[in-house]
Amino acid sequence: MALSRRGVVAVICLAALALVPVVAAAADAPYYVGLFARVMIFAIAAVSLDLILGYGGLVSFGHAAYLGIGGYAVGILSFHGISSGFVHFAVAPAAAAAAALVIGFVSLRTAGVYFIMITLAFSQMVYFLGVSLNQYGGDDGLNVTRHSDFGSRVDLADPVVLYYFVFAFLVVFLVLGGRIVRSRFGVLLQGARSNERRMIALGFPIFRYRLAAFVIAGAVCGLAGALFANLTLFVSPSIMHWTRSGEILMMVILGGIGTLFGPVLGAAAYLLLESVLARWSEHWQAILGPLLILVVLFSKSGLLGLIAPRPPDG
Amino acid sequence: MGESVLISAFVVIVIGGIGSIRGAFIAALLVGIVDAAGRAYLRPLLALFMSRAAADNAGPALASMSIYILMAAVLFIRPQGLFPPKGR
Repeated sequence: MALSRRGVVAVICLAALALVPVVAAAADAPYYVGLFARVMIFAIAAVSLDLILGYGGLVSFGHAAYLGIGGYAVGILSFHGISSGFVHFAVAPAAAAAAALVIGFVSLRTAGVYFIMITLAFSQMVYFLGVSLNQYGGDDGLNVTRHSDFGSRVDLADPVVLYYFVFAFLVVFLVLGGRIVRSRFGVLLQGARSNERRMIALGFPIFRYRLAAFVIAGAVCGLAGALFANLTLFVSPSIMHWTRSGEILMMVILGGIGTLFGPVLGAAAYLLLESVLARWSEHWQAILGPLLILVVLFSKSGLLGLIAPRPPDG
Repeated sequence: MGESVLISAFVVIVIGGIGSIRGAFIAALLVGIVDAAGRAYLRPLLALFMSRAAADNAGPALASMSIYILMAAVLFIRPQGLFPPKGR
């Protein structure tokens, strides 16, 4: 199978990401390993959002809640002395999936702006729940005392090991996402986005399909949250504030809605611009905002659309 | 910058039904009353059947959540809001 132009872009970017720790070690700049690990974690979250936003047409404005749930799962488990990574990385997506099941069950009854607002409402509830967890630091957040423990061979306390750990998750999820999108399930999801009434008339129970997609996206974002807790060794309610949901949404739009690799580019562009501009001025958002407007105005599918326009046959 | 007002305004519009001015007016009063009442009475109310410390903890959290719980409940029962504009 010949790679499309977008496939080539994805492979080149992933190869570049794989080389980051080597280059950082050679340039004696270990700071970049952490920065790019952060980029990839948000890329995972953004790709999971794009699965329901781009392919399902469901604009969820509460995606940061799952990031927080995943992070708090790791934080609370290690607070109680359970440091096994296998437990952490099973509980985090399971808890996020359970939350997504409840939230999706209620939210998917509505559509359009109402759907956006109800997902926002739920994420605000989760946020205030986090604030009220006084035992776990409440508003001030919770220090994660130890990294998830995967035995002595995979020591996440080593930044380079953690980096490749995150990288592996990103690659696996991109491949998995590609399969989901091309499967019968994924095609149904896209059909329901383009013509909901017709899919219903054809006899497909689209509510169940959408709920399944919503739960998958939640679980993957929960995993990203668990990775984030391992990277920063700190979780606080601020990682599920609604502005964070907006940031993830912005990464997806910036990179390209409805593309698998676009959100990765979007996350990279957003976070790298943030780190460069923030060094320059504390009002970095004043520069990022107009840039976002320009990208949205001039490219229908974001940065990926600028680099590799969609071939005419789709 | 004005984020809290922005979000509550969205909540009001959605509860009232998007496109309905009468709905926005009534929902604004409703949201204001629920929020203020939650902050004033929820903690003493919870203290009636919980320990003082638990009420001190849960009260303010529930009070901040109250308008979102209201919105979720309204949308669950009436997905178009309380007063959807006619003719659509």
